[in-house]
Amino acid sequence: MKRFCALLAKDLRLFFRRSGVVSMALSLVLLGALALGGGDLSRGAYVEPFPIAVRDEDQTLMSASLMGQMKQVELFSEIIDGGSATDASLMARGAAAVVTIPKDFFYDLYTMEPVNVELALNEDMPLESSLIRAVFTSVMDIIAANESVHLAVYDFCYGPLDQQEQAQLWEEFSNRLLRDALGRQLVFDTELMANDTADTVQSALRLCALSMLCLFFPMASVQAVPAERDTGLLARYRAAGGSMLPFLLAKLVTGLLLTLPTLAVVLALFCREILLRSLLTVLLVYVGAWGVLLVLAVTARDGAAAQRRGNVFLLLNLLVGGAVYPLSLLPDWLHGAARLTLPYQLAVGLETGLSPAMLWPLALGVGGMLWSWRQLEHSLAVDRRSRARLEMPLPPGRWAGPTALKSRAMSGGVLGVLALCAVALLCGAVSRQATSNSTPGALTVAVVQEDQSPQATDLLERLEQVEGLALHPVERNKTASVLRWGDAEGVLTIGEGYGTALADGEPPPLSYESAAAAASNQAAREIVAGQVTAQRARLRGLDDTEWLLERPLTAEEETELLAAMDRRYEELPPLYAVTAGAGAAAPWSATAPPLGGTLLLILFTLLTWGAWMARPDAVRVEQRMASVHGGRRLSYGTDLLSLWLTGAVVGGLSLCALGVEPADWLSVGAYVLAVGAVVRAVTRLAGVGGRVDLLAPFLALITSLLGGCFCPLDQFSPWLERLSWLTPQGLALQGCWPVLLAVTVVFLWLGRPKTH
Amino acid sequence: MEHGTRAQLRLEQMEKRFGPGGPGVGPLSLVLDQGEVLGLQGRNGAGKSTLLKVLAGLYRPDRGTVERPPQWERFTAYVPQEIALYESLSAWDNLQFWGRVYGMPSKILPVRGRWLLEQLDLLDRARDTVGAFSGGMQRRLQLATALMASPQLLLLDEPTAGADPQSVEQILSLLLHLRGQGCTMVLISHHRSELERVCSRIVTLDQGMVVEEQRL
Repeated sequence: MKRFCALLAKDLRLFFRRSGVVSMALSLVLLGALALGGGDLSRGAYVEPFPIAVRDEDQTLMSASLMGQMKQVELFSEIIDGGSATDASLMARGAAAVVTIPKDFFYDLYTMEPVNVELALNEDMPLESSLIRAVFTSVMDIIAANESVHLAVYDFCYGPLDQQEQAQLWEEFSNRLLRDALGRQLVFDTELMANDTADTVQSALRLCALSMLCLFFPMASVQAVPAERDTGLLARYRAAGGSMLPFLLAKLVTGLLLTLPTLAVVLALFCREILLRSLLTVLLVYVGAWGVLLVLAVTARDGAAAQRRGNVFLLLNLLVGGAVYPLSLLPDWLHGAARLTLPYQLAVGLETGLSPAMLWPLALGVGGMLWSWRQLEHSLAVDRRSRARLEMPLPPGRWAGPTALKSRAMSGGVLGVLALCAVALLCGAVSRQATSNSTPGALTVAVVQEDQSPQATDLLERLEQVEGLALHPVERNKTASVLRWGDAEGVLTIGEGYGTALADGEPPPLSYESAAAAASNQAAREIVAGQVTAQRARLRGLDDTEWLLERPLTAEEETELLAAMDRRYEELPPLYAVTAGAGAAAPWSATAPPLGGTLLLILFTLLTWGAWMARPDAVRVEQRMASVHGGRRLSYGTDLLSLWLTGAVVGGLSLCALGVEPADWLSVGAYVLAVGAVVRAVTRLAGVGGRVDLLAPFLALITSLLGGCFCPLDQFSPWLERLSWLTPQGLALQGCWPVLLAVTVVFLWLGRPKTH
Repeated sequence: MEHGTRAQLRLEQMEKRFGPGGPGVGPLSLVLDQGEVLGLQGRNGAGKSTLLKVLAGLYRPDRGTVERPPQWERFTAYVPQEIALYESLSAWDNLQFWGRVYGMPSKILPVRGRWLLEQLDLLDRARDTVGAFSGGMQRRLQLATALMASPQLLLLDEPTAGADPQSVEQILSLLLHLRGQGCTMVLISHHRSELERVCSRIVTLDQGMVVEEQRL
């Protein structure tokens, strides 16, 4: 036990001597920031009432009545009279949206003339905008459904209408329309929608934070293994009678001890309701990650190679395992690989609890340790010093040659470069697939039908006819799997008693659970809400007809009337148009931005590869170069060139696979310049030794998370969004390339070579 | 080099101190003729390495001047006491790297690199990573990388430190060969015998000042 404690103390000292304190402090700072952001998110989830502006160009009794009734809607704290003010000025006064009711809207609606209510959304209030958009769409669908029902009913009862009957119909229809539309019961209420949005973002955040913890600290704990093997420390330990098992277990426990403080904060923040399950899942996944990383370290040539391999493993896990992009948005061909990743195991464990599937990470951990044990014993008996290297031609020139050699030294050779290129292409392809899947288009919705009433069946038939919507019947116990793998973008459950509730005018037992892409979530809700409302209006239309005719309808008459309602509905012109500030559709998605993966990859690569420049041998070479004519400039310049070249290759490959706009190329180009300069300065300011090695992956992941590479920060809070502007990733995502160029200049100055 | 005049490295009342009254070297004056081999000896902290770094241009003197012939600027090679080679690159890659840094033409590099490795008995390890080399091999390779420049002025800070006797012999033989070629050298060593074998003049430093000068 004494020996084990000594080993443990040694491993902990090794970690803390290599900027371990900074790593842990950084992780806690990050979590603090996210906790505050999460607090804002929770506040946003229960949206406070907010003001909207209405510009009434109709100026009729109807429109005045509409505005009066809008004031009764709880969601709106104030209805600002738009008057002749511009949209921008109204939004500057805090309006989440500006509704413009055009002249003669209600009369044109009745006479079925094409007319649009315009809805301009405030891009600075994304959550409010998305809610009001959903509400507005739903309201306008209700108006359309009511109008078609009324026209069909009056036509059925009275035939072609004379002037007086038309006037009467308009008055009755208008009154009922206003009452129904504004006193409506949304089939999915707004609070539930906001909660789902918050849950989606929080789940992504939780998975991302836990994945980082489970991968980073095991990597830090095994990084010293190659050095301990090659410097003879392990041989001396074995010669002193030490066993390999405590040697390895000490590293496992070291990593665990280092993980625990941050893990406790993460669990307290994000997993309070499933604390025990989360803890066990994280521990199992941690053991799996540790086993794999130990094998990578044991088979590595040296500590730097172990770090590089670990970095690739970490990146692949984050990209393919669902920590950056949701699994449902990954290409199909990656689904098999995704099941093997640790973030996937983490997600499944957090979602469903411990199951036999969780034995996989445990087996990885135990298997990795046993294999490493055998390999290390074997390595003590062989000479590892002679290793032939593949010779590569160098470009000519005093600058090009050293740049190429430095790039080769940073990458660890041809295999390192090839691995990185493969990861870059994969990153671009995954980003492309994920972000193209997240745009609302053809929606596949899984349906759990628990009610067999004619109304429930009718709802499904109506939904099947909606263009761009595909239904996919599913058993209740399969819904989690369907959502995880993107077989459907959401699950609609039609609960038992739906038909009765609809007929009685009560809230129907409907629920909709979405996958991670919130945009499709809202689209699906709107479609379903519109169809349920249409069903309600039709049922009421039948009652109204019986009341007007003062007799029950025959079955044939019911069929004829329902067909007339459908016909009228299809003939209706579109009633509204939605724009955002600049006229584009308001963006809304919880999915990582398209460039997020590329930006993460570039910084991650440059920081981890650039850490090579802070190694003692590289620093000594740099000092020696200062004695050569023009050597300081040459050393500094070739460092930068090799970083920029690496960034350009990685970014270029990723962007080619992603397929982006020219403006994005400009942003990413400036980002590569800035990050190269930052990395060069950091490697100089952080000093020598393994400090930068250890910090590099963590710095890259943290700044990427805070920069908005993993999820859009405008979903959190304005101040967290502003914080993202302090990171190069945040600036690149905002397209602020001039600022990035300024950052480049500043860091070039900070990292400049100094004379003594 | 100008006809009729010998190039000289000249130090005039040069002083370099690390903090007021702190360790360092000088003020001292020194003249080194072309082709001369100057040996520096003295206790640890006497200022030998500091003086060498001033000559290499790594340190700027606080006072006085250091005049180096302009034609030597591009052909000055400095071999530090610690090993300054990329451990993850092969011996051959390191030679290529330093050859390029010294601005050697691409065509000459392979020939010169091969000759140097042969001279220092490293040819069969040319493709191995430097991190896997023994201390003596690293010392020899470090000297080889400096000689890629075909230097006019070679500054060596304990080039045989930690090397095995065989490596020491190979290094000294090469230095003697360079002396025969007319290469100007400044050599630091704690071994008097090495200095006496290679140098034409030995200067002893103590607390940054010249306390003894001996021509051989």
